[in-house]
Amino acid sequence: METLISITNLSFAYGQRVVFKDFSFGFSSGQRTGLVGSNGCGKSTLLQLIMGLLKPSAGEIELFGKPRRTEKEFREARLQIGFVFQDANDQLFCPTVGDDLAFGPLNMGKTMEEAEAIVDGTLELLNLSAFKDRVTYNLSDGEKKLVALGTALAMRPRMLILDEPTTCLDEEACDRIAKVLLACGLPYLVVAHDRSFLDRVVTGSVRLKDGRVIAEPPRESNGRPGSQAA
Amino acid sequence: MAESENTASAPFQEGAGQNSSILARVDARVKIVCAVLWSLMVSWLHGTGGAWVALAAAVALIALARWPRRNLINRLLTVNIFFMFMWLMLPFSFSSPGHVVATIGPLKVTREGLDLATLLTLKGNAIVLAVLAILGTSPLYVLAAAGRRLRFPEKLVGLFLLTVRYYQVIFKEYQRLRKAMRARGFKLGLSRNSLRGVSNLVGSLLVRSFDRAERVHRAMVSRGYMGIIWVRAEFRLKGIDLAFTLVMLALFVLVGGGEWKR
Amino acid sequence: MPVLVAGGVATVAGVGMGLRKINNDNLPKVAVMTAAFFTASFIHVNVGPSTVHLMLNGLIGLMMGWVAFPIVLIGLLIQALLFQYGGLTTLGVNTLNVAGPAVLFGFIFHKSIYSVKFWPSTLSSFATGFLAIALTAFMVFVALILTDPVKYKVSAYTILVSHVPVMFIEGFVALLCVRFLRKVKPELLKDPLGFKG
Repeated sequence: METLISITNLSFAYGQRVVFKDFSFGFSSGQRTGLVGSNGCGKSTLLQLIMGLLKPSAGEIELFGKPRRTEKEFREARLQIGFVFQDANDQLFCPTVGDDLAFGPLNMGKTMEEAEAIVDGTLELLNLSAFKDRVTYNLSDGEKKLVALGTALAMRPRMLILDEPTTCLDEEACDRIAKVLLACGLPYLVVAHDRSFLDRVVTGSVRLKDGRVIAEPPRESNGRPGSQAA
Repeated sequence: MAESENTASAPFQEGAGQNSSILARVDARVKIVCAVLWSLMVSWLHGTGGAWVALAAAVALIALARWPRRNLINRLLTVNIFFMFMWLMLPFSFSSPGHVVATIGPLKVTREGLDLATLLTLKGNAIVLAVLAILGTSPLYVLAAAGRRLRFPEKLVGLFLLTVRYYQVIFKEYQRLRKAMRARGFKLGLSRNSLRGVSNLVGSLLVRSFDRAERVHRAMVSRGYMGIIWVRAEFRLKGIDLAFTLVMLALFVLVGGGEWKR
Repeated sequence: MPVLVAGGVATVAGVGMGLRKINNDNLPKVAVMTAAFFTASFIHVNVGPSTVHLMLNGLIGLMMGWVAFPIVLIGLLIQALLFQYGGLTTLGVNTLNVAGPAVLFGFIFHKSIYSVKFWPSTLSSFATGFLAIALTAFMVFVALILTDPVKYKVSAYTILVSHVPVMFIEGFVALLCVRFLRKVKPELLKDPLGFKG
């Protein structure tokens, strides 16, 4: 097991409101962790701190074994993390599905042909092969979410971070997301309120409360944990 | 109030003309150049002779584009409401130097005024129809990608692409806000209360959009955004592009001839 | 035609100034805000038998400064392509007429709208909306008169007069919007996208 994320003594506040103080957290390869907690407990803030989208006032963030402080260091790490945002509309900004999936790979310096191949492979994994030239705007919410997940996967990341991937989705869409997550073979950190979804896709959960981590006891309904371990 | 609501309910009409017509297959770079040249030339015309030819040519183009009839009629109505105002004003605008052809009360209708109103209406419709046929048959993002190839400023191309995308999202948000207001009995009008409602609506829209702007930026940075919005559109000149260019050239000559003969 | 060319040249300069303030970081944000302003311009207010739509150029100028030029250009371009109201040839002069006053009055009033005193902030935020539209209408008037003083005289005066109620509407909307934003998200009025940094 390799340590992917290691946070030590982190502090962060929005103005006067302190969210984290002396916060520590770790995440390793092979883990599929659910992050739960009440609204406003800092889940989204934590995810954005990990991505370097917010800057902590103190503390150390280590990603993939290297400390990250500057924008350049974070940028290098970001390209190895597939981040799925809460609102798929925020994530999908290109005209067509194919363009959106190609955006990350192209930014990483891939050629058009390589990007095209990645797009095709990703669409196949998502079971959306016919969607390549569809205009993003016309997709259903569930399809948008799947494509958003695809844009993260298309970057061939070492891990995924998902911020509430199932809000506002119907059961069928949740099911498709869960299937892709289980099939992709990557470690991930997922924030969700939906217990049944979490039980299906994670091997363990942690609860954020008052700026610290509490290990969540496994629930009895958590079936087949062994089969889900990577 | 009902009319003003309707105009806002279907703002995004892209796609009406995107069928399999010949025009849809023409290279978007060629289209942009031709549409701009056409607009310039037609707006330059001084005589109704050339303008009639231009209108005929534009009608031919829109037929070639196989534009859906209902959508076309709606568009033409909107455009011509503007020209209707011209018809209400221009005929009476040359009281001193003009040839008076009729008198309505204190107002004198002059031939010069009528000619000018005719000319502007012809030119306006000729431009609208042709630009619809030429540019309306390509998706906006393809036009943007073509503009990038034509060396339009990269920042403008990026702005255009993202604005089109988020206009769709934000307009939906606007409609939700509007519905919620209407559910509470809000009516648009000229009262103090109504203007306050409108202002709060605009304010909410701006605040929400600003928050969204930050989220979009973060999502883009997470995927390594470095300033370019890529579009995977391929551009290669084909026979059809040459044919279209020749047709447009012929139309330019015809319109020019009509103008010359006046 | 000289009017169209002059307007085009001025717009190119203004857009150039605006683009210089736009970098990779704020470009997506500018685009989303452009979409918001564009959407807001669909809001119609009934005035007697007719309706007018909001322009909000004063507000755009307050928040965006020179970037008002690219914002207005993109807005008008999309409008021209989607609805084919405005032609491509008048894009330059129209952008100047809308964005020019936005930049001017945004620059003049962007500090005083933040006054803690009631009247200075009220008057200046009203004036931003009112004067921006007033100047836009006046510039359209001048453009028409310069194009042909005889032919377009009646049209030019009609446009000027018909914009008087719009000036008041835009004034009040700007005033109330500024109040809303000061309450809800004050940083939106203080160079929110970092154009001055």
